[in-house]
Amino acid sequence: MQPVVFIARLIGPLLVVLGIGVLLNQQVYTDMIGRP
Amino acid sequence: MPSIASTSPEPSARSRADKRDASEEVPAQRVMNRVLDPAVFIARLIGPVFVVVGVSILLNEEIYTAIAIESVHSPTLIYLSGLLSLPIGIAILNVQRAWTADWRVIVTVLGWLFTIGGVIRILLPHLTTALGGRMFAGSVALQVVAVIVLIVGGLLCFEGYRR
Repeated sequence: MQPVVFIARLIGPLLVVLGIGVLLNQQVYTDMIGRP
Repeated sequence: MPSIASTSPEPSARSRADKRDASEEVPAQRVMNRVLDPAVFIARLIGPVFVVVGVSILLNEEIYTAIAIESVHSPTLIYLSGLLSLPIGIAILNVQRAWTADWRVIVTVLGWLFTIGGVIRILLPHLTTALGGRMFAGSVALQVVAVIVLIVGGLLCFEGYRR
């Protein structure tokens, strides 16, 4: 497996989950960064 | 003047040389070839970590209870632990995802557990708080976790470092 493919397979799903996580839990993340 | 083709060894002589090379493989090369198996490499990496964590929980139970209670009530810690767990799980599954009928299946199961745990912590932090709070409410839960981690770590160490 080429390194770039390995990195894409590693980071791709991570970014998707992070993006959905932020959209689903906006209040939690807003509290986390301390925005009023 | 002899041609280039005539200077190359006979096929039978070449195969004899290959066989001799294979039989004369030094122990260090044999170890390296074995470590190149992703499951063995991951076992050698995770096994000692699990053993140390398991022993540490048993030795410092009060500290780990405080850590567990504090962790499940902090969204930042839940998020960071998910952020740590998910790439580890995905990396394991990228190199070892086979459901074999030997010890390697432990590595696959750990890969899935890290991945699913990471996804739940990032997507459903409230569920993590509820489950974690309920799980660590009992006094024996941490001891059970420590023993399981110790057994799995010991098994991975044995399979990873034997020979």
